[in-house]
Order: sequence, then structure tokens, then C-alpha cells
Amino acid sequence: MRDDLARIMEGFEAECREVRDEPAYGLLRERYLSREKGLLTLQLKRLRDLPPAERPAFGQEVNRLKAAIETRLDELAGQVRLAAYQDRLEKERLDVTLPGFPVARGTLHPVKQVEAEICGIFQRMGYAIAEGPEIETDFFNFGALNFPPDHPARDAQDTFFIGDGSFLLRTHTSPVQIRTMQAVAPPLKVIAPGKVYRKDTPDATHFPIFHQIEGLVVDEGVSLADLKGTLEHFARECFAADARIRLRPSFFPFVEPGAEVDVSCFFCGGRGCRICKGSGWIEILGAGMVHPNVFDACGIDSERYTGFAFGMGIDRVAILRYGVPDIRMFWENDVRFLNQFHRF
Amino acid sequence: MKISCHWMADLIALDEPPDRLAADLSMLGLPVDAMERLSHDTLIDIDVTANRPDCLSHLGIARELSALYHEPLRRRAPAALDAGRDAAPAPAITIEDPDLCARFCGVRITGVRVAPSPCWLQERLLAVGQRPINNLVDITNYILLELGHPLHAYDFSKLTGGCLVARRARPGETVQTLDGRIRALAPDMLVIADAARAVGIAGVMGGAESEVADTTTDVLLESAWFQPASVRRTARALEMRTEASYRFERGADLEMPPRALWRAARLILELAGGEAVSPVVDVYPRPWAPPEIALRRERVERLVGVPVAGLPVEAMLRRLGFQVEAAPDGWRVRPPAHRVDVGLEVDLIEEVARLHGYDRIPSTLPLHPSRPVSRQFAGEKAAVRQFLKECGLQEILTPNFTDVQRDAALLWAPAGEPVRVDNPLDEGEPFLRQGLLPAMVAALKLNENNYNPDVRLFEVASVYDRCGDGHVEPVRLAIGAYGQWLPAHWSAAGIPADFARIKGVVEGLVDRLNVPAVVFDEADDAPFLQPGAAAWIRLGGGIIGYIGQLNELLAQKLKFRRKVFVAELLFEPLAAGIDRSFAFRALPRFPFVDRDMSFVVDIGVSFSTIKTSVIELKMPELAEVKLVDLYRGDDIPPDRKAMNVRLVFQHPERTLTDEEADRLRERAAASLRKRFQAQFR
Ligand SMILES: [Zn+2]
Repeated sequence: MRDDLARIMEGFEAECREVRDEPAYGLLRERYLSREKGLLTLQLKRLRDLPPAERPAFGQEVNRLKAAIETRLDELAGQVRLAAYQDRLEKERLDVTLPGFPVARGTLHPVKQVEAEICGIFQRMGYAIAEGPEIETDFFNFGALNFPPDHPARDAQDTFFIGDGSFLLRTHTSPVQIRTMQAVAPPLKVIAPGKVYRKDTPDATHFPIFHQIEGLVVDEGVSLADLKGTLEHFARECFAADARIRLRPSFFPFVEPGAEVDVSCFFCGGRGCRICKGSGWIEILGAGMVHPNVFDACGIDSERYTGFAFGMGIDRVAILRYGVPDIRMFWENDVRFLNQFHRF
Repeated sequence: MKISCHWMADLIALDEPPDRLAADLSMLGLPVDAMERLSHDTLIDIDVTANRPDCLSHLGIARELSALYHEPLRRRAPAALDAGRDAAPAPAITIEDPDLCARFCGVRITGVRVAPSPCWLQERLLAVGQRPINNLVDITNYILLELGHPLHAYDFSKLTGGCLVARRARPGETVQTLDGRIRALAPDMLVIADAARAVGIAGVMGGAESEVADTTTDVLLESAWFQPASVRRTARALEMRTEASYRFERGADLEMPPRALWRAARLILELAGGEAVSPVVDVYPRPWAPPEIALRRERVERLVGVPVAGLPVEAMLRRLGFQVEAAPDGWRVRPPAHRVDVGLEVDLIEEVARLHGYDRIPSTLPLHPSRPVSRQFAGEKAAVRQFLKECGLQEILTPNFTDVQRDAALLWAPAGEPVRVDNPLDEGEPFLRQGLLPAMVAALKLNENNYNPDVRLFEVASVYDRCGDGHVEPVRLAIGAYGQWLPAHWSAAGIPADFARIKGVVEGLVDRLNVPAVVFDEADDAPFLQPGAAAWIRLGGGIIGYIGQLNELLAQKLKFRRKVFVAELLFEPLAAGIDRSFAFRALPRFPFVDRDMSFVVDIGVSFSTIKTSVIELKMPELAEVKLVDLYRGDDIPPDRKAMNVRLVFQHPERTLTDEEADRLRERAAASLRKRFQAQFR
């Protein structure tokens, strides 16, 4: 009978080697361990046929064999499951190069992106954002900004008039300076972005509507050196970490001293290229110290307070930065154009 | 203003090469637009700002360079002219309106011979772009370019009474100007007249009848100072812009009229065979006295941000021709007559900063504080744009000028009459837009024409309406889309841009802003939308916008090949409706239970009425009413639809039992049966 047990073990080992999958494993387990008909159950049933003295020893032998088979079956179960898992992995293998499920790609308009970026730079320096109407009066657009009536300085800003000349479309964002100073006492630090209008026939570099951003700082002891430092900081954040600026004396009626501000060319680093026409500089801003007549128009004591103001064209910055060849593309809204600005 | 380096050498000795001159002029505030190299000369084209008429001449530029380089001018000013013993008789000159003409000088020269100018003079004029005409005209142009002062030459024999007067035009008076045109004059225009009639428009253009001709032998030269605003008004009213008006309207040098005549008369005697010259007549009722401007050291330091100790203020101003006296707190300064732009202390400070060099001013970063400046809904506007971008829409920028007639079919709820531009660029588009839909539709159409199959756009922008005596500029928001919102994917079908998709964006926006109580209802009355596929967006009893399919008949007329879906909202009422109260609510401690109701109702019963009627039962345990499925098909009568509505129940203090949930569902179901004849399945 012990030989029978040995043969069972040999047969089991041989059968184990044949098991490849879960069903075969199930059958094998059933064949040896089933409570009714399992080969080991049958062996235990043979105990009754043995003389009582031999029963305990044979019983121990059978139980030892059963334990060995169970251990081996558990081990086999792990192997079979692993094999099945590996098999499934292969079947479920993805082509990871297939495109993923798309998300709808939205974009902000490139001009508005540049506007937001410039606003952000100044907001981090503590500037508040101010706004004003686009339909303005002569007083806010010119008079309070120290443009005398019948002065040639008005020529540079060809104006759209409304209501038989009683209103106009603002030609710059500078009226927001006046509105802000009339509403809020110094100290003041504001920027004012918005649409402005000049009667220019559209071409590659002109459009009758464009965007400006105005800056204004008023406090005791604000100097031209402060203006320089502020714009230098702005240029470094906006254009290049090593950007330099250059102020050249210029004339805007509402500032004195006034300046044109150039930024070192951010394409060639100032060595001179096609974009900067070889000069190494790109004209970006107009700026200066707030004119005492402007303070007077706003009821601010120009003996006590000084201030600086600056303004720049946002569309122009966007054109320079992205190399857009024609300003009119900003107003066409072809999605193939807009799509290119999705990364910002 | 074109400057010839060769010509400049007459006025100042300069070693600097033209490139250097151009760079230095730019840094002085005289930006150089272009340089032109000729064989024996270099031309520098300077863009002179409107405040510096004194720089519109070779002398003016030479003065600036003299101050910059510490190099004195070769010839300070033309010397007075001595008429001599056989002088010609002096002309009679009077000023009738001294408010418009502050100085009027004249000189008469007899025996001149009109002929071509000598070569050197012609060459100089040609180099700076001035066509030579004859010696007399060329000499006046030469003086203009050298000294910056406009002169005019009259044929003396053609002046009635041999006299000139500066006076306002008489009512109905006309003059034929040099260009041959007859000009009707208004009574506020200053003219130069002889004893009989106007012979020129002061400071703008001379008259044809007294023009110097080849036969002229007796010439009267005029050199005057005209009030700038008056010249500008006249020139603009007559739509004339001349070299003379350009300078007079910016402000001429009050000290220059006689000097310019001395120089001109000498040249005429020399080059045009003049025989006798009269004494220079100088009518100058109120001679100019320079203003005295106090310049305070402390002010220079405060405004420029540089210690005055490092600035040779007095020397710099003197080099620029200012008279400077020391004062206890700084200086007393008198500008020269040609510096019409200098009248205030700040103007002097700019001169100091400019000559010192803006590039030598240090940079400091100010840390000034600011008072808060209120801006309505600024954050909300940015949030709306950001949200729409994240929904997959692309922001557009569209022009504001439009034609109201063309827009009429697409215009919704203007706040007033349209705003008309007096002087539009395009006569076909004289109005400011009152709505965003026309431009949105145009942008969609452009994209369809450009073969872009799937398009999703938005714009947030102001529109403009007349309101009382003024205007309002309300902000609107527009959405437009056609084609696929998401294109077909290998794992899923495409998602079309349709009504539900646009509505989802609007609902998401309302949810993001936290505007409660926004409701939608049918908008069959919106003419530009498709009946049955259009909704008004209502808030607090008012309509704040719409969503819908662009009316197909209209879309066909606009030549759209695809269905177009649009929305437009008023931004301010939306932002005003934001519920800003927010506080944390405790999380529910017990699980929710849901129950579905599957029923058939008439097609006309909207989901929102079903939802409202369930909510109106005021079951405290009801947490949510959701539409799970909507079905119309063959197994349902054509005028009915099947809905599957899920009720979510939640009790704050315990878990609801199945029986309780069933009872709640049955209450809702009973109500739907009664109110809408819903057949439950
Ligand atoms: Zn460059």
C-alpha cells in the first residue's frame, strides 16, 4: 500500500508538469483532493481495510502525502495565475503610440495675452489696474493732458469724433490718468490697459483700433531715476533677463521731462539685426514726469507731489515678440492663426 | 527736417563724423530717421517734435550741437544792415490786429534781376529736397532752411499803395493764392493786404497777383511773427499745409524777423543784382521780454533724482542760450526767444537732464505705495475669459466699427441709439457696434471660407450705445461654434458643437461665477435664432442673454454650409448676480439613496417644469433631481417622450430606509401623474 502512495505521488508530479491553465489546475486539484472521489480520499477510505495496528502509521503517511500535494498545488496555483496574468497582459497590450483622447484646445488672443503679461509684471510691483471709457471728451483726452487747443501736438493723434465733435474716441489710454487722479488722492500706482483709436488707414503696421497700456505713479519724491528703474525692471521681466533700456528726450504734452524709451533688441541682444534695423534698440514706450499742468487739472498739488507716466502699444509688443508680419491678422480671427498661440 | 552736414559747416566747426552726430542728436531728443550719403555731403533727416520749432533749421541744429560739444557757433547772428546813403524808400507797414501779428518787418530792394540762382545755392537747396525756382524765391527758401524763419517776397510794383497791412479778413473777402486757387477767407483769418485787397494769407501762403515774376525788379520782403494758434486754425480751415504754416503754428522766433531780412537782403544784393535797399521797417508794438523762471536746486534733484552738486546747471543752460543768474535757492533763468517751448521750471529741468544725458541718470526702483483704485468686475472679466479658454474656446478680437443696417438682423437688445462717428475711416461703417453677434458670425464665416472644419470662438468686449447726452459702454460676451466640438477619435465618435454643448458652457460659466437663479426658457421670438433651438437666459426677471442655433434661413443667406450655434450675454448683470456669500457646509454623514422614475409624458413638457414640480413638493430629504435619460422612438407615440429622472435623497441625521425612499419617490411620481399625466413604466 505504501507503494500505492509512492505511485500516487509520482503520478501527481507528472500531472503537475502538464498543468498549463486554471481549468487544468482545477481538475487536478479535484482529482486528488475532492472530498468524495479524490485519490487521497480514496486512500483514507482504505484505512478500514487495514489491521487496526497499521492504521495510524498509514493514516500519517496519507496525511503527509496530502500535505505535500496541497503545498505543491498552492505553489502551482501561483504559477498558473501568473502565467494567466502574463497571458492576459500580452492580449491586452496597448499601442501606446495611438493618440490619446483629445481635449478641446482653447486660446486667449495673443494681444490679450501680452496685455495680461504686462499687467501682471506691474501688479507684482504693486500697481492697481484702472479703466476708463473709450468714448471720451476733449477735456480728458487732450485738454487736461496739456494739449492746448489748436496745438500741432494734436496732429500726431488723428482723432475720430462723435456727436459733432463734442465727444471723441480716445486716442490713447492717458485719459485714465486724469480720471484716476481726479477720483483717488495720491499716493497712486496704476496701470490702465485698453483699446484706443486713431484714424489710420489699415496696412501691415497700422490698424485704426489698437491696445495701449498706461502707467502712472504719483507720490512725494518720485523722480526720473525712479521711472528709469521701473522701466528697466519691466523690460527685464517682459523681454529678456539681460535687457537694457535707453531713454531719449522727447515730447509728449502731458509729461516734462519727456522721453522715448528703447529696449535693447531682444532678437540680437543689441548687436544689431533686421528687426532693430541694425541699431540694437527697439522703441517701445513713451514716458516722462507728470506735467505740473496735468496735476493742476486734477487738483493735485504739484509742489508736493511728483509722478511719472508711461505708455506703450500692446499690439506692437505682440507683433515684435511673435514676428507677426501684419497687424491685421490680429483682427481676422482665423483659427489656424489663433491656434499658434495656444502654448502661452 | 533734412540737415546737410556741408551746410552745417558754415555755422559750426565740427570734427565729429555724421554717424556720431546722428547718434548724439538722437540722445538730445532730435531722433534721426535716416541718413543719406552724397559724394561730398551727408544728409541727416531729423524727426523734430512739435515743441521744438527752433530746431527746424540748420541754425537750430547747430545751436543744439554747439551746446552739446561746447563749440561756439561760427556766426552768432546776421549783422544789422545799413541801407546806406542812396537807400530805397522804406515801405509803409502797419499792424491792425496785433493779437494775431506781434511783429512785422519789411525791406524793399530795387533794381533786382530775377534769374536762376548760382550753382552753389541750387545745389544746397536740391540736396535737402527743395526745388530751385529763381534767385529771389530760392533766397527766401534758403533763409527758411538756414535760419528757420519764413519770408515772403512781393513784387512791389503790384502792391496798391505800395504798402502792407496785417489785418483780419473782411467779410466775403477772397484771395488767389500762389497755387492758383481762389480762397474764401473767414473774418477770424489774418491776411496781409495792400491798400486795396488781401495779397496773402498770413503765415500760410502768399497771393498770386503780387507774386515775384521774371519781370520783377522792385521787391518787398516780408518777415513777420504770427500767432501760432491762429495760423493753425486758418491753415486747417483752408486745408493748406505749407513750410511757413508748419513753422508759424509751432511758434517762430520773435527776435528773428529783422535778422532774417538782413541776411536775405545781403544775399539779394549779392546774388540778384539788387541796386538799392531801404532801411528795414520793424513794426513791433510790444517787444518781447523773456520770462523769468525760478529754477530751484531742490526741484532739480527731486525731479531728476540726481544730486545737483554733480550737475553744471548754470553752464549747461548758458550753452543753450539761456541767461542765468544765481538766486538763493538756485537760479533765475531767462530763455532765448527761439525757445518757445520753455516757460516753466520743469522745462528747464528737462533741458538740464537732456544736456546732462538721460543715460547718465541712475536707475532706482521706487517702492511707493498706492491707494486702492476700484475697478468694476475686473477679476470677473478675467475669470470669464479664462474659463471659456479652458472650455476649449478661442478668444477673438473684432473691429468696433460697423454698419447698423447690415447688423440689424443680428442685433439683440441695444441699450439705446447707435453711436455714429463724425469722420469715419470707411463711410460704409460709420457706427460703433451695439452687439457682438455680427462680428462673431463674420469670424465664423471667415473660418468656414478658409476651410477650417471645426471652430469654437468667444469674445468679451464693450459695445456702445447713446444714453441721454452721453454714452454707455456695456460689456458683452459672445460665443460661436460650428462643426465638431471634439473630433472623432479612434476610441469614440466625435462630439458635435450643438445646442447642448454651448448650453453646457454657459451653465458651467454661471456655476463657476456662482450666479444662482439663472434660468433658461424658449426663445422662439428671437428672429435670428432657430425656433425650437433657442433659449433666453434669464436672471432676476430680466433677460441677460440667449443661446441658440443661428436661424437656418438666415445662415443660408449668409452662405453657411454648417449649422452654427451662438450665445450672447450681458456681462454686467451676470457679474452683479454673483452670490459672493460663501461658507463651508458640513459633509453629509449618512449615505444618500437614489430612486429612478421612468415615465412617458407629452413632448411639450420640459424637463425644467418636471424638476420644478418635484422641488415644489418641498420634501426636505430631496437633494437633487437629475435627468438620466431622454428617449423618443418607435415604441412611443410620436407626440410623447420617455424620461428617466433620478431623485437623490439625503437625511442629515440618519440613513434613509428603502421603504422611506420608496415612499418619497411615490410622492413625486403621484405628483407627476397628476400634473403631467405621466405614464410610469
Ligand atoms: Zn536686433
